Parts: sequence; C-alpha cells; structure tokens
Amino acid sequence: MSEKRELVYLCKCGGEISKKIDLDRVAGVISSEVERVVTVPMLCIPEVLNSLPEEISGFTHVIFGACTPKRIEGTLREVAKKAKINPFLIHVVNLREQCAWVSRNVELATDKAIHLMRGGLNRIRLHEPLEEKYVDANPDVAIVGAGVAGSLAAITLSEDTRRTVHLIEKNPYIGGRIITYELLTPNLVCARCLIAPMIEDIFGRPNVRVHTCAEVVSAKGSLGNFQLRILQKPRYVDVDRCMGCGVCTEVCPVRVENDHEYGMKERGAIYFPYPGVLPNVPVVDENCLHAEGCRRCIDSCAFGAINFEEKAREITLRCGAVILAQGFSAYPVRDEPRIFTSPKFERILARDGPTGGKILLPDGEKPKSIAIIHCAGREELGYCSRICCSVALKYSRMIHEQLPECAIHHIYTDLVLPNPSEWKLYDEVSRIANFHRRLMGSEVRVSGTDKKVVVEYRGEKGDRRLTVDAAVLMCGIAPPREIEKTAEMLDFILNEYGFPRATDMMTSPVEISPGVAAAGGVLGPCSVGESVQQAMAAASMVLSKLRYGEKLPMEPTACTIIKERCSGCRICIALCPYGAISYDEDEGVCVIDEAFCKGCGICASACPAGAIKARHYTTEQIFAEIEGITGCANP
Amino acid sequence: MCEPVIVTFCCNHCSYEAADRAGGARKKYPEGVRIIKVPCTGRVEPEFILKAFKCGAEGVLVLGCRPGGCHFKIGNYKAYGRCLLLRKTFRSVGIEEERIRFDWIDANEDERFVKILSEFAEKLRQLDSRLRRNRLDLSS
Repeated sequence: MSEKRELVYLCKCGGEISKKIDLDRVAGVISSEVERVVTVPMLCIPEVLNSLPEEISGFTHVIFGACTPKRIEGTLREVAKKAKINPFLIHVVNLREQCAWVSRNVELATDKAIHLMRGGLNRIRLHEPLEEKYVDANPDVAIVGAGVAGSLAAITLSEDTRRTVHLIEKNPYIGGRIITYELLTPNLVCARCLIAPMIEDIFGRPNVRVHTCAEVVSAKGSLGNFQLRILQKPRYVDVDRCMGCGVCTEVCPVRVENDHEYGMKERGAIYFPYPGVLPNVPVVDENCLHAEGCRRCIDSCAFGAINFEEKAREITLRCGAVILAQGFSAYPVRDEPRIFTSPKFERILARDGPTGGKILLPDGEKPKSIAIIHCAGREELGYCSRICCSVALKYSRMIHEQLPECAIHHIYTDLVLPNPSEWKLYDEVSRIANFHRRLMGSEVRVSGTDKKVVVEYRGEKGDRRLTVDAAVLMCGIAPPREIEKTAEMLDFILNEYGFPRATDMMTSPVEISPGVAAAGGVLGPCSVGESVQQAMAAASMVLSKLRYGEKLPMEPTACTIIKERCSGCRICIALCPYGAISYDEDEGVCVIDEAFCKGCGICASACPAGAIKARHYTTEQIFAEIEGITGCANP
Repeated sequence: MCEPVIVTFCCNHCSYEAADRAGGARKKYPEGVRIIKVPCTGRVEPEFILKAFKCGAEGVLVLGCRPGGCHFKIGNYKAYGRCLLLRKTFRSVGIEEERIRFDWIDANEDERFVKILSEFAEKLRQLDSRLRRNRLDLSS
C-alpha cells in the first residue's frame, strides 16, 4: 500500500461542539500527527457535503470529529464512495453526543476530545478497506399453513409470476379454520364467501404449489436462502385422476367419528374432509382396512384413482423467505354431550354442519336455555384472548334468530370489545340476552348431567347457580402445538405465552427472525380481520426484502478465520448464534460462511488462538483505540 | 481534581444509543468516561478490559443489552459471563473486582445510563481514597 495520507475534519456543529470544546486546541495537538486538519462550521449542510468528495479525494484515511456516527456515518460513507475512498477507511468520532453535550467544563471536554480523536486516529490507521459483497437470493417463498392468513399471503406474493410460492398445509385441504365458520363477527358476514374465492384463486395459479397433508420436518438458512424439508403423507387418491364423484366414500365399510365435525357425525376411512372441499378429492386415513384385504373403494372407482402403493414423500424446498401462518389451538378442549367448546359450536351453527345449521341437543331437542361461558381457560392461559367476547355475541345473535324463545345467559368477567362495530352488536344482543358478571379469580364450574347443565360461579351478589339445557365454552387462543419445534428449526424466540416474539413489537410486528414472518393466530389472539392485516404485512415484508433478480448484501464486517492459526478446537461453532461456522474435515480448521455471519464477534472473543478476525473491530484496532482514548501510547 | 478514566464498552444497538440519548438530553456525566463502540458486547474480549487497565483506566464498564434484547441473541450473556470470570480472577490476585462492572441497559434508558456512570465513578473514587489511606498507613 502506498503512503498513508490522513485528513481530519472537525465540525463546529454551528457552535454546539465548538462552544464546549476548544477545537483550535484539538486541531493544534493533532495537526502534527496528520497531513491536514480542517475545521468546518457545519459538516452536514448541503454546501459542505457537496464539495466534500472533491476535498477528501486523494487522501487515504479520513477522520471526522462530529456528531454521533449513528446519524452521519452513513452519509459520510456515501461521500467516501464518491471520492473513491473505501467507506471503511473513514471514521467518525462522536464529539457532540458523547463529549460536548455531556461535559460541564471546557478544559476537561477539550482534553476528552483530544483523547477521543487520538483513539479514532490510532484505530483508523489499522483499518482495512472492506468489500461490499452480495449473495444470490432465492425469490421463492414458503408459507406454512393455508388458512385465511396463509392463503392471502400466497395470493399476494404470487402476483409476481416469476416467484414460486409453496403453500404447505398439514390438512388434506386448504382454507384453515375459517371454513368451519358460518358467519364472522362483528358484522356477521358470510365466512365461506370470504375464503372460498381465495381457495379457488390459489388452485388456479400456476406459480402456487400447494402441498397438502404436508409438514415441515426440518429447516435451515436465513433471509434469501432457506432449505426446508417437508414430509408429505400419502393421500392414496390420485389428485389428477379423481373426479370427486364420492362413490368410494359411500362404499367404505369403516365408520369413524368425523373430526371436522368434532365427532358429531360419522364418516368412512376414505372421506371428503368437508362438503365442497378443495381439492375436491377424498383422502384415506389410518382407519382403512386395505391392509386386511378390503378393496371396496378401489373396485368402486371408475377412474382408477385410488392407489395404495403411494408412499410418504420427503420434499426438499428452497426458498428465500418463510411465512408462518399455521393458526392457533383452542384451549381448553372438553368433550361432553351438552357442553360445547366454541369451535364445536361453530359447526352446530354452520349450514354445512352436522345438524344443517339447526341448534339441536344430542337428543334431538331444541334447547330452551343456553349459557355462554366467557373466559374459559383465561386463568390457565394467563391472558385475555380478545376475540371471544365478540364471538360470544355473534352466537347470541345467531341463537336468538333461530330460537327466539331460548333464554341466553352470558357469564362474563369483562367484556372486551375493542372494535366500535362490536359495540353495535353488543347493543343489539344486550336486548335479547342476560349478562351475568362473574368475579375475577372465581372459578366457574360447568357440570353436565343427563338432561341439564349446571353452571356455578361467584357473582357480584355471591355464589350463583344456573341450570340450563346447554353451555358453550368460549375457548381461549393458545399457540399451535408444534410451535416449539418450529421455533427451534427456524431459530426464533417464543414469548412468555408461547407465541413467536416479533423482532420489534412496534416497528416490525410480523417479522420473527431474519426472513421469517408470522401472521394470524400463530402470533397470538387476533380476529380474522387482523389475520388479514398481518398476512399483508408479512407479504409486504417479503416483497420489500426479497426482490426478484436482486442479490442480498452480505455483512461487510463479517468475521473470518485465519486458517494458519486455527487449531480446529471448534469452540466457536458452539457459540455462533447463526450457525455460520462449520468444521472443514479435510483442512482440520473451522470455516465461517460469510453469507450467514452477522459480524457480532462473539466467536472472535472466544477463540483461544486469536484466529478469528472480527472485521472492523479487530483486536489490534480496539487495542489501538484504547491506547488513544486513555492517552497511554506505550504501556 | 483528576477525573478517573473509565473505559466503557457500549454495544452498537443498545447502550451506544442510550449514550447518544443521554447526550441529546444534555445530561452531564463524569468527564473521564471514554466510550468504545463494539458491534455487540459479545465482542468484548477479557483482554480488552485488561488492556484498558494496563493503559491506566481506573475502571471498565461493559454495558450490554437487556436480557432477551441482544441483537445477536446471546452476545450480552456471553459478555456477562466473561466479566464475572474476570472479576473472580481480579479478586484472586488482589485487585478490587469492583473496578469491572457489567450492566444491562436498553436503548431508551439514558437516565439509567447516566446513573450507572455516576455511581461507578463515585465507587472508583472511594476505592482510590481507600487505596491512598492504606498507602499512608503502610508508610507511617
């Protein structure tokens, strides 16, 4: 490298710095150590910034004594680029926020400023030009869960036909929980009408690959480059050949509880998950008697679509981003004849449900009184699930419409109705239903006998007891069961309630780790409307960070291992939070994959051989800075 | 009066931001404080701390993000552990372990940042006067 030519810029900051720091004294002291010192009244005004590239070109190292680097370093690095100086060969010393503004005394502040400048000078002499490197990024996106959030994200992202969207769904159908609902609260709009066109749209898009009966078994990578392994269970029915006539489902000799209807209906071992399902193809479950020699469905199929040779498949997907939208799980789960959990009651109300939308008790009678218990599971979960009150009001409205004589009792602790239109619904319902307040912290006991359900709770006027024909438990929203495994695979953190934690609750509410976003119930209690908002937010995060045909910048300050010094002890591998370090068996040394390194330097501090170089924060640079700021040149 | 030199390692994401905010609010803190920016407190090698003492620092502060708030997930915990170990080593060789302090600080805690610095400077002054007293005792 040719001769070092160092230039120092001192900014007066319109007096903010110069009235506390005697910049002439600073300039005087350091002018002997560098080629030139320039004092400017204000560095960041356009007049100065525009002429700056010309002024600094020709110098090799430029050091600025100015405000905080957080504010100005980015601008000055751009200036450096214009002056054909590597942006890492400039350095900003924080003379304003960390010196002028926090000092009481001009004398001491000036001393401090001299020391800080010396630290910066010592450091920049050891700076190396760093390259801005780029890595190829895969524009494809994997979406886990095909409910309303996942489906909407898939539709939004697949508008760019150059991008492939993989929609991974563990059920044999797509649509998620919302297809089990009849109406949506608070405006009582048709749920099917919202999701059905979306499902159809997805199947019509060539760049959306739907993987049903599939689960993610392993994942690795970061924004731009993920690798997912998914396991797809066999459906035993050829999706391309099947016409969806349903003859096979009628001849099946097996009868089992239909889990889609929460056991309120039966189905065969080969069945349609629900009427009008898409893809309109039946699926075979583990109750099938084929192993025992039953061939009835095979014989009944005119299209030869049933194939028991099918095996579980493992598929490897490569993508640049992942959106988690696998929904929530309902808590608590209770199964008693006259006590309905809210997901089960949705099916009672649904026109395509087991009773055709008629509210009937297991004995076929119409109930004369129903208790709706709010906040079931709230104490155990430790939080309010936010949407259940509104859903409970919806139930009231729907029950009253069908059975105007039926007495409806709401047992609630607080009414949580954050949306103005929910208050409109409450106004209506308060005229048709009875509201009973249960005291916080008191238990509500719901016990079913043969014909009646007894509800006991502590109200404002002491212990109360209510006997009704049926009870509905408003279940809380709990994290999906497999979330811990997913968190481990995709490297994100769960909050104290077990939901994924956003990287920043305020400014990045759907991003949970680099390249991984979440939307809908998986993030915590939310309404359908909020799920949709989060899905759009997740999609826009992906769109802004993963642009087709564009590479992603790599961290220029990524760490690197000096091969000659590495003993192969592998301490660093265990420490790296990003799994960026691997062991090279052939060479017997560790290697850092700079595409994954974020430059934190945790490994560098731990390396017993000093073999890891944390670029821009090397041990030599920090030592030199310490010598400068303490004023101790030769310890 | 001579101000004790305090070398302070601040992580780029939390404590350096807190320091800037303290400055922005024109809060005054001891003049001897010298801040070194590191990408993460996990980058602070025990050798850096030793080097600071070797260069004449009276105390060294390492300010990491709040638990769970580390931009690099675990860097603050590693730094905490390393500081603890170094403190133990200091004690074993008869140097006041209080000269090293690790603390957790969020980007918005400028008030606490100033408080930590002032307390630490005060502590160092006490240590210093105790040292001087002991020396006097020895010489008499």
